[in-house]
This record gives sequence, structure tokens and C-alpha cells, in this order.
Amino acid sequence: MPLVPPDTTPAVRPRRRQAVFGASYAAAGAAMLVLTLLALYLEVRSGDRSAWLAQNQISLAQPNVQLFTLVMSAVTMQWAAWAIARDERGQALWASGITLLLGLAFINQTWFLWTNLGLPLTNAAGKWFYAVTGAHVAVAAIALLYLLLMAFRVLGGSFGSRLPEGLSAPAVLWHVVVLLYVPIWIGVYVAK
Amino acid sequence: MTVTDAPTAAEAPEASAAAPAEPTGPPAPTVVEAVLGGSDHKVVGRMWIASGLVFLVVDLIFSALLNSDIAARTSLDAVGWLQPDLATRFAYNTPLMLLLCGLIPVLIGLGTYLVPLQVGSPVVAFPRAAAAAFWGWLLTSIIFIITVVANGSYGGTNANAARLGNVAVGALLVALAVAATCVAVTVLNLRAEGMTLRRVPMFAWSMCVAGSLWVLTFASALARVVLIHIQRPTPDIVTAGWADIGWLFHQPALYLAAIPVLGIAADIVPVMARTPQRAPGAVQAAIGAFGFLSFGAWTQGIDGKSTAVNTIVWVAFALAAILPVLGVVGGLADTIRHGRPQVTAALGCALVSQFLLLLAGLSGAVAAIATAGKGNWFEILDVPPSVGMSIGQFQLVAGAVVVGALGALLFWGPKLWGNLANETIGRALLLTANLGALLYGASHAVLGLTAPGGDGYRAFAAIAAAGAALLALTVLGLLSLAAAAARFSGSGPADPWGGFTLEWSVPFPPPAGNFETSPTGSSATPLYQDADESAKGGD
Repeated sequence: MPLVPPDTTPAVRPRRRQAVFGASYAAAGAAMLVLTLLALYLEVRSGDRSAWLAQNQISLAQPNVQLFTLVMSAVTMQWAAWAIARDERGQALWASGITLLLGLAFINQTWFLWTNLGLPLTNAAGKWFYAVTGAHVAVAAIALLYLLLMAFRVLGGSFGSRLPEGLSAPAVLWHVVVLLYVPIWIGVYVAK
Repeated sequence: MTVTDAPTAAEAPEASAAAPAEPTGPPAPTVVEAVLGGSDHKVVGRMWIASGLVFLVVDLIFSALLNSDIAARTSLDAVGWLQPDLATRFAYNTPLMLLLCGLIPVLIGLGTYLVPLQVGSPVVAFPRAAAAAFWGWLLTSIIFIITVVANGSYGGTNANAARLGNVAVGALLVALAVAATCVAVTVLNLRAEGMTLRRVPMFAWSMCVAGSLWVLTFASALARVVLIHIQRPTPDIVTAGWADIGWLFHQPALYLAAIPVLGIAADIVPVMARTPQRAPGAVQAAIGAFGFLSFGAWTQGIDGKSTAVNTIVWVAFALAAILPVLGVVGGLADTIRHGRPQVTAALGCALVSQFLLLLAGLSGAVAAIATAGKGNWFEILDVPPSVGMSIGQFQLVAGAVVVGALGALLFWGPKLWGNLANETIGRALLLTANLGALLYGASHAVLGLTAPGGDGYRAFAAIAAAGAALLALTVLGLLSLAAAAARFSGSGPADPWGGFTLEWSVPFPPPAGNFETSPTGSSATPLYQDADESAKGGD
């Protein structure tokens, strides 16, 4: 005997990944914002190379840890998106929680680096340094807030295999945040 | 009797007579509730259009005042009839106001209203974000204009007003990017069943291309606004910062506002020619190529000096930008040739807007060749083109957008305000818009070919002032025309032109959810196909 009676009205098809597309546009905008600032940073630095951050040496240890933190968070974020698409609600919540924790750790690490660096905003390089890293942290904070809201909705029973975009949309934004850190890590910290 | 028992007719005869039908849902919102609290794309779209047109009039009047001031000067550095600091602020801020408070908002309004109807969607994507974007834009537009008048923004000397003006520009960019995202995602995600991207109506397609590029470009411009603001800038720093967002008004980025104008023309012309668009795929590709060639964030530099401008890539972009416009014009001409065109004001606007775009592309090409050809075989001018050339080019594009928007409002009037606009007045507006746009833009483009500060600048500035005033009058006339037509809303036919795309299947006002039944996108011109098939059935 079929489980679904033949005269049952077909279920309404869920909307086609609208939030994922919206998040992609937001991610593209965020990427343009950060990459514009980074490109300008590199152009200004190339004209002032000898004096650039001469009084404020940045050890590579801290940015490296930040990079690894973000890479780990990308894995857990994808885990959350994978889990909700398979109705593994518990795993999705755990993965979202760990991603949030790692994201907050990244913001904390950046704050620590700023404090240790002691670079004044009035310094010629300071304006550009804080603009690039600050814009990236701001985007990361917005992405985390979005993930937090979606995680609450997962906790409340929303989303699942029929509508997984509740977590795949913040995942798109978060992956872009992680990817954006790579050129910043190379351009601002490694090739300083 | 329990409260759930229904009263019999004998028990409540008056009630049954007075209230024949029990309301089944929540009460309908009042007009005020719908305007202030609603997220219906039709209400939000109309508000974008109306507010954008009002700001457009204000911006064009500012521009007319500035040009008349320049015309009254004995030399470029002399004082005209405006206060010098006010003239400076107008010079810096008029292009920004024109672009961010007038031209793009009107196009976003058209997109917010029409795109869901064109693609067969009951809503715009993220309706609450679309409404929030409108209110955010409206508020910051008012703040921006107040800062300009109150000795602030770019060119001002009041520190707080200067900073507030800069922040207002940032907020305008964010609001417009959000609204553009809503429209673009509607095209990408909320299309009717069977409507592939190739079957999307041209205006919806052009809004998708433009929306995507606006998001990228505005985000890049926002970076410059952020850079200015984090310095806790003095008025001088804010004013100097204008040079860093000036690339928005130079080629190739100045074409960004004109992308939907191609789509508007490509939707109007086939309907007026009573035949589907010839080679629609090529026209769609041309619109996409024009969008790509309008991306100009890469031309920005430090302190207004860009190493990307005057390079071979920049010249290639400037020269290539004219090709997609030519492609669209060729496609439209071929459609007219194979059809039975009915001459209307809307058709005239569609064609004139393309002519103005071609003129802008041509002046850009001349500027690019003359700039890059200095000292070599391509040296076509005695002096390199001055900044007036760019101003003229931007004003030609602005004129093209105004004329294109006029055409769109005349064409889709039965959908927007429920009645056909008066055709005679429409033709008169076409005439004034065309003349105004030509005077406004072409005069500066010609001025740019002469040496800066040459003798002719006063005459050219006076002509530009007259052009701006004519355009402002045109927009005012359009607002009155719309208001007059809306007074008899719903009295005209729902589809007076015999349109081909889904929006023409909807009555005015559209029902809740826009369509009685879910439409299908079986072809790029579903209504034309239907008419054809019914004719065959009749035979």
C-alpha cells in the first residue's frame, strides 16, 4: 500500500535557494569592499615601502593562528550545512556553535593584534591598515550574527533536507570571509 | 448558545443584510498602513519612482543654477551670481545627487514594480529588505541634500555637516545595493516555471545585469567613503575625498546607470513594431556585454590620480562600450524593419534614448583616442580633452536615462497607474526631453574639446543650463501627467499595446500575488504566441 494517498495534493515546492543567492550578492559586495581597500593599501604601500610600518613590526605568529582558526571554522561551517541537508539537526547545531566560537576567537585575536601593535590611526600606514583589517572583521562579525540568527531558527525547528538554505546561506558568506583573509594574510602580514 | 454557533437568519436578519460576507482574513491595510508598513513590491516600486522623480527635478534645478552661474562669470575663477561656496558645493555634489538620488532610484523603482510581474513572480525577492532599502534611501537622500545646503558634504566648510554628508553618501550606496540585490535575485530565483534566463524579458534581464554591477560598484565606492570617514576628517579632507569617488562619473563606470535603458528600449520597440524581437539572444548578449564594459571600479586611484586611466585597457573599454549599444540599436532597427510600427511617444523615447547613449559612447571614444593618442599617430586634437568632456558624457548618459525612463513610464503606465497617459502630452514631453538632454550633455562634450577656460565656455554653460532646466520641466510634466492619468485609474484597457510579456496579462490593480494562477514561461513572448495561436484557431 502506498504511503501517500493518490489524491493528496502535491506539496508546494520550496523556494529555490533564494537566501543563498541573496547571501552570494552580499558576499560579492563584501568582497569588493575588502578587496578595494586591500588594493589601495598595496598601492599606497608600494610608494612608501621603506617607512611602511617601520615602527610597528608585526610578528607573523598571530596572523598565522588567525588563518588556521578561519580555516578550521570553514570546515565546521560546511559541516553544519552538510548536517542540516541530511536532517542531522543535532550535528548542525554543534557545528554552528563551534563555527561561532571559532569566529569569535578570530575577532578576539584581531583585537589582540591591534592592541599589541599600538599603531595610531594618525600614522600614515595606520589609516590603511585599520581600514583593511577592520573592514574584514566587520564583515566577519556580520556573517557571525547572520549564522547566530539562523542557528536559533534551526534550534526552533526550521530548515532541514527540504530547505537546507538556512545554513547554506550563512555558509556562503562565511566561506567568503575565510577566503578574503588569504590575500590579507599575504598582502598585509606576510609580504610586509 | 455557544459562541461558535452560527446565528440563524431569523435571529439576525439585519446583520445578514448589512454584512453579506464575513471577512475571512485579516482586515485590509489602510493606505497609510500599506505605504508605511507594507512590503508589496508595487507600493514600494511606485514610491521609489515618485521620490526618484522628485529628487531628479531638484538635482536638475541645482545643475541648471550651477551652469547659469558659470555662464555669468567673466572667467572660470571669477564669482558668478551664486555665492561662491554654494556654487562649489553644487559643483561637487550635483553629479552624486543626480546619480544616487535621481537616476538609479527611478530605475530601481521601475525594476521593483515591473520585474516580478515580468518574470511571473508573486513577490519581489526579500520584500522587507526592499522596503527597508527604500526608506533608508529616502531618509539619507534628504539628509544628504540638507548637508549640501547647510554648508557641508563635499566642498562644504562645516566639519559636522561635511562628515554627515560623507556618511549619507555611504548609506545611499548601501541602500541602493540592497534594493538592486532584491531585483536581481527576483530575476535569478523567482522566475515562473519554464522561464529560462534566455526567456526573461529584456528589461528584467537588463535589471539583473545592472543590479549585479551596481552591487559590486557601490561596494567599491563605499570603501572610499569608509576611508574618508575613519580619519575623522576635516572639511578639506572630505572635499579632497571627492576625487576618490569621482571615477563613478568617468568612463567606463558612468555607463552603469544606462544599462536598464537598453532593456527598456528592447521591450518597447518589439511591442510597438507588433513583432517579436529579432535575434533576442544577441540583444541579451549585447546588454550583458555593455554591463561588463561598464564596470569601472578598477579605474580608481589614490588622491584622484589613477594609473589605470589612459592605459590601453582603459582605451579598449572606452572604444568597446559603443559596440553593444550599436548591437542593440541594430537589433531594434531590424525588428522595426520586419514589423508594422505604430508611432508613439514611448517608441520615440526608446529610440532617442539609444541615440543619446550612442552620442555618449562616441564622445567617450573621441576622448579616449585623443587622450591616449597624445604624441603619436592618433593625436586628433591640439589639446587633450578637458574634464568638460567627461562631464558632458555623464550628462548625455543622464539624459538618456531620463528619456528612457520617460518612455518606460509612458509604455507601462497602464500597469503603473492604471491608465494610458495622454499621447499628445507624451509627445510634447519627448520633444522637451530630447532637446533638454542634447543641450545638457552635448554642450559640455563639445566644450571638452576646446582648451579649458576658452572663450566659448560661457555660451556652452548657458546652453547646458537651459538643457537642465528643460529636463527638469520634462520630469515635472511627467509627474503631472502620471497624476492626471492616475485620477482615472483603471478606466483604460489593461493592455492597450498588445504586449508580449507576462506583465500585460495582469489586470490593474494586480490581484494579491499578482497572478490568479501560476504563469508559465513557455516562451520569451508568451502573450504574442497566445495571440498567434488564437488567430490560427479562429481560422
